[in-house]
Amino acid sequence: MNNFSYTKAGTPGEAVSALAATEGAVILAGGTDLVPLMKEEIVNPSTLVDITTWEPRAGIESQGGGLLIHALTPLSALASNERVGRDYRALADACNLAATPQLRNMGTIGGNLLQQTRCWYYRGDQPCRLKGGEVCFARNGENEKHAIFLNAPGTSFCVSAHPSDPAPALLALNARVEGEAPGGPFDMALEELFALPTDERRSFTTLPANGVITGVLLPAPQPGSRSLYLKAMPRAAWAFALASVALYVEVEGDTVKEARIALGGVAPIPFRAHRVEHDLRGSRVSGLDYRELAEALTADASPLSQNGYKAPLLRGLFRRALLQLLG
Amino acid sequence: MARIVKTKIEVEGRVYEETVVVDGEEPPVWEEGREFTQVGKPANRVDGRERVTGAAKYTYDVQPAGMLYAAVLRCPHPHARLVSLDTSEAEKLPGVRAVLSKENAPDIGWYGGAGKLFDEELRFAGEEVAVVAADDLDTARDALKLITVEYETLPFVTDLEAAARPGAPQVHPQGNVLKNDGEEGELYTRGDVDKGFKSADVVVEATYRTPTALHNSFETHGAAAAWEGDELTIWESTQYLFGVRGRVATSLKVPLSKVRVISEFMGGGFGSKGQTLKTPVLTALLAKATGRPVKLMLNRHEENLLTGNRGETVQRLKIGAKKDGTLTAIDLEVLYNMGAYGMWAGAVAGPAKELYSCRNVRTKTLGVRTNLGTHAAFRAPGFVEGTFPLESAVDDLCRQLNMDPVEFRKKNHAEKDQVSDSEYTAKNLLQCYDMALEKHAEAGRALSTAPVRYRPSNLKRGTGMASQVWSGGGGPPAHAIVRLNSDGTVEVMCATQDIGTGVKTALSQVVAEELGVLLEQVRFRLGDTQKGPFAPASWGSITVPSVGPAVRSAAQDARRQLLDIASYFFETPAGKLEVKEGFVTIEGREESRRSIEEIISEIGDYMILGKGFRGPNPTEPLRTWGAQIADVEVDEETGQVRVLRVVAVHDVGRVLNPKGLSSQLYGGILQGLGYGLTEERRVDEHLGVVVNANLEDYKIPTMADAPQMLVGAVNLADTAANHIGSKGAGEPPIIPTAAAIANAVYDATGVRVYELPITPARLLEALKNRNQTES
Repeated sequence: MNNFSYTKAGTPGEAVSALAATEGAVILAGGTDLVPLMKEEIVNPSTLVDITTWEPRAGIESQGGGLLIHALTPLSALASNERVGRDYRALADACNLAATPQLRNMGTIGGNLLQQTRCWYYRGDQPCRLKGGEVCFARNGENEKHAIFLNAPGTSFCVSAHPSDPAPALLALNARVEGEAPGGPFDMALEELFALPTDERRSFTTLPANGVITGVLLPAPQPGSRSLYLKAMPRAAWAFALASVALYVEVEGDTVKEARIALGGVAPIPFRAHRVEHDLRGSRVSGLDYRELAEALTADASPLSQNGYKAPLLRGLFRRALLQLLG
Repeated sequence: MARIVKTKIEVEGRVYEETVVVDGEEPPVWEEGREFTQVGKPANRVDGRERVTGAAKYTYDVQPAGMLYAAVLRCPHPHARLVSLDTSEAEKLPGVRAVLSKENAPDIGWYGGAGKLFDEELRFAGEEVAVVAADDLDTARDALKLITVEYETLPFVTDLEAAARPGAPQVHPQGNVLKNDGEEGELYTRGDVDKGFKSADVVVEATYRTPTALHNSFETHGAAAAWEGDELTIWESTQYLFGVRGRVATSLKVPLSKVRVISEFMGGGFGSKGQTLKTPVLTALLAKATGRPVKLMLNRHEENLLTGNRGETVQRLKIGAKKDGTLTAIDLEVLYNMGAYGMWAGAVAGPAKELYSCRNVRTKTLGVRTNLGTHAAFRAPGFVEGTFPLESAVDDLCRQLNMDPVEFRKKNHAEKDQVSDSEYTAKNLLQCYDMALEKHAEAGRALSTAPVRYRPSNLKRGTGMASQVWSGGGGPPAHAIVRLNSDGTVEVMCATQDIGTGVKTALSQVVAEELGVLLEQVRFRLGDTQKGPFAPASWGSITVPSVGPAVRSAAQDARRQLLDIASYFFETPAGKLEVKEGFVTIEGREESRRSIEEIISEIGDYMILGKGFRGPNPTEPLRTWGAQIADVEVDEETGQVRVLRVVAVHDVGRVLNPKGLSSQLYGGILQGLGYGLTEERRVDEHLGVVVNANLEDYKIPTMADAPQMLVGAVNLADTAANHIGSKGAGEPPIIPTAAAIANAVYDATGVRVYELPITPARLLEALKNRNQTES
C-alpha cells in the first residue's frame, strides 16, 4: 500500500471540496472494496476523504411515500429492515445474498453502487484497459465469469461482469440516486448512473467528477407490486453472482400492469432488459409463456469463449423468478 | 528389564551415592478386543485451549527482538532469462537492511539441481529474483519496487497436453516429460490387457480431467531465522522439522547440530509443507547478513503461486467387464502436470492397480513439466486424482450391466494385493461397504436445504458411491522419550509435528494408556528438533502409526522403570504392581496406592527417562480402506449441485481418538467436496500466469456448503501392522468424496461430467448436450 494522507468530511459539501482540492483524493466509506484495492496498489489515493461520520449518517427514512436510503447505510441494515423486506423485497434479498455478514455490516449502499469490477485481470498484475492499459485480457483469455451482454468490441472495451447485488435490485425497483457535486446537488435515475467505460472515462459510472452519492431513493410502493432477486453462485455463500435477476411486477387481476427486469453478473454494468419488460407489460398472466420470455431475455447474448453457460443459467433464473412472482 | 543400581558419583571433588536406572524392552501387541482406559475414548484436543485462546504460537506469531521483515521480488514472466539486475536504489531506501539476489547470494542449488536459490533462468511466474530485509514489511515491499530488472522472455508452455507434445517449448533442457530409466513415463503391466478387453462384454472408455487444486492452508508458508553465534534457529510452518534442518544445513554448509528447527503449532499443511521451500534459507542468509532475526511469511497470492498444488491430470481410461460383473481389464494413461520443477508424478494409477481385483491391468503415467508453480504432495496425492475416473467408469459399467454398485464392488473385491502378490496385513473394505449402507439407510431421506420458495420441480436427487484405498501404515524410524518428573508429571519428548490433525492428542492417549495415567497428566512436547529425538515427516498419514508405537515403547520403558523403583519402596516384586490413573498399586490392594509423585520424590530430584523406538514393519503391504456415499440435489436449470449428505466409513485399524477421527473425516470430505465442485486453479495460457491465486476466485467450500456428514470407522486393530494396531486417517477421507459426488450427479441427471470440478458451467454444458440428444 502506498502512503496517503487522511481527512474527515463532516458534510457532503466538505467531501466534495476535499475531493476537488486534492488531485487523487478518494472517498472512504465502508472501505470493503477500497482497502483491498489499495493493498493491491490498484487504486493509489493521495488522500482518503473519510465520510463515515458525515451528516446524514446511515439510515432509512420515509420520503414522499417511498424511502430515502442514506448513502452510508450498510447492506445488513437494508437486509433486515422491515419496510424494505415488505415493500422492496428484491433489495432485501439482494443485500442478504451479497458477500458475508462481516462485509454486509461494513459495506455501504453508496459504496456498493460504485464498487470496482472483480475481473481477475483488473484485480491482478495485468495492465488492462480499465486500468489505463491498451488491452482487455479477458476478452480472449480466462472469461468464464465475464459478460455475455454489452461485450462487443465496439460496445465496451471491458468484458467484465458487474458484481453488485443491490444494483440490479434497485434498477428493477426504479431507484434514483442523489448526491453532491462541485456544481451543486444532483439527482438521477439509477439507470443513468451506470455506463459502459470509454477511453476518456475508464469507470462504470457517470458520477460527476469530484461528486459523491448521498442517498438512494425508492419510489412509493404501487398496488399489486412485488419483486424478488435471484442469484446463482459458484458456492453456497460468499461469492459474486455468476448471474442474477431482479424482477419487479405490478399485477392487477390477470394483467401485468408493470414489469421491470434487471440483470447482474452478465454485463459490465447492471442493466434493464427493456425488450422483455415490454413483452410482459400489459400481458395476461395466464397467457404468458415463460420459456419464450426466457429465450427472449438471452436472444442478444453474445457469450465469450468460456461463458456460454451463463445464457441458460440466466434463463433458468428468470423462469424461476417469473414462476415465483406470477405463479 | 530396568534395574536399580546404587552407585557412587563424583562431582567437583565430592562423592554422592546415587540411584540410577538402566534400559527397557519392547511392548507386546495390543490385541483386538483389549479393554482400554484411554485409547478409543473420545478426547478433546489436549491443546484446544491454547489454540482457541490465541496462546498457541504459530510461525506467523514469532517475533524475536530486533526482527526484520522480508519480502521477495518475483519474476512476472512464465519463462525468462535475467539479463540485468540493479538493487542499488533499493539498498539506499531508509530502513532497508539487506538485499540478496544472484549477484551477491551464495550459489545454492535447488530442485535436485534443476534450479537454484537465485537462478538466471526463471521457469514460472512467481520464481524468486531478489529478497529484501527491512525494518518493516511496508519498507521491504517499497524496496522491491526500486529494484530494476531486465528480462529476456523465453517461449513457455502452461497447457498440460501441449507441454507433453513433441516440439513444445522446453521448460528444462532435458525435456518436459519425466523419464524413468531413459523411457518417458512410468509403466505398469500385469496380465494381458488386450486379451482382457476381448473377453469383456461391456467396455467403458473415456477421457477424464482433474484440476490443479491449491492446498490453501490457513497459515501460509513462512519462516523466521535467528543466529546466536554459529547456531541457527529456524521457526518454520513445516510438516517436517528434520527435512528443514537438513536442507538448511546443507544449503548453508553448517553442521546439522547447529541448526534448530521449531514448529510447535501450525495452521495446516496438507502436504504442501512437507517440502522445504526457499524461505528458511533466505531468512537465514538475511539474518546472517544483517546480524538480526528475519521473518518471511508468504502472502496468499504467493502461497497460491508457488508452494505446491495437486497437479492437474488428463486421464484416458478404458475398463471392461463380463456380463456377471467380473472386471477383465483396466487400461489407464495419465498425463500429470508437475509444474516447473516437478521431480515425481503423483501416483494417479494407484487405484487402477489396487482398488479392484483385475487380472489385466496396464497403466502409464507421464509426469509433465510446465511453466507453472511446482506441484507438491496434497492429501493423498495421486489417489484422489485417480479415484474419480476409475469410480466414474465403474459406475458406468454398473449401469450398463444393470448391477448394484455395491454388489459390483463386492464381486470385484481384491482379496490380496495384486501388485506385490501378497496378503494385506488387514483389509476390512467389505465391512466399510456394509456399514456405510447401513448408516445411509438408517439416516433416511436427506433433507433439502433449499428454502421452500426456491425449490422448483427441476431439483433432481441422486446418490452415488466410491471406494478408497491408500497406504497409511507408517514405519520406522521414529523415536521418543517419556519423562516422569519428580513432581509426578509426564512429558513426552518427540520431535514430531502436529500439523493440525490432532496427533498430539491421540499420541498422548497412547502414552497415558501405556503408563496408566490420566490424559491430562501427559504433556506432549513436539515441534522442536532440540527438544526430542527424531520423528519422520507428517505426511502420508504416517504420524500415528510411526510415532504411536515409538511413544508407547518409551512409555512402556518409563512404566517399567517406575515399577522397578516402586518395587523397591513397596518391597513388592514389580510384577505384582500396577499403575492406574496415575497411582501405583499392589495388585488387589487398593489401599496401598501411592502417586507417581510420591514414589519418585523418594529418590530426590530424579527423572525417569523412558526411551522408545518404532520397530520394523511386517513384509505384507499396509493399507487403509473406505467407502463413501453421497446424496446430492442438482438444480438442472442453474447447474448448481448441492451435496446434502455424505456417509463415510473407513478402515484405519484401531481408532485412538474417535473425536479426532471424525474431525479428520469431516475435513477430508469438505476438501473432497471442494475438489469435486468448486476448486480449480485457472491459468491464462496466453500470458502464462495464474489468474486466481487468491481466496476470492479460488473457491474453497464455505460452511454453508457443508453437507450432513455421517462418519464412522470399522475400528478393528491391525495387529500385524504395529503393536498399537492403528493406521493413519488423515488422507483416506478425501480420496473417494469427489468420485462419490460425481456418481451422485450422474444418478440425479443421467449426465456424466468427465471433468472436475463439476461447476455450473460444466454441468449446464453436459445437460445441454443431453437435452439436444433427447429432443
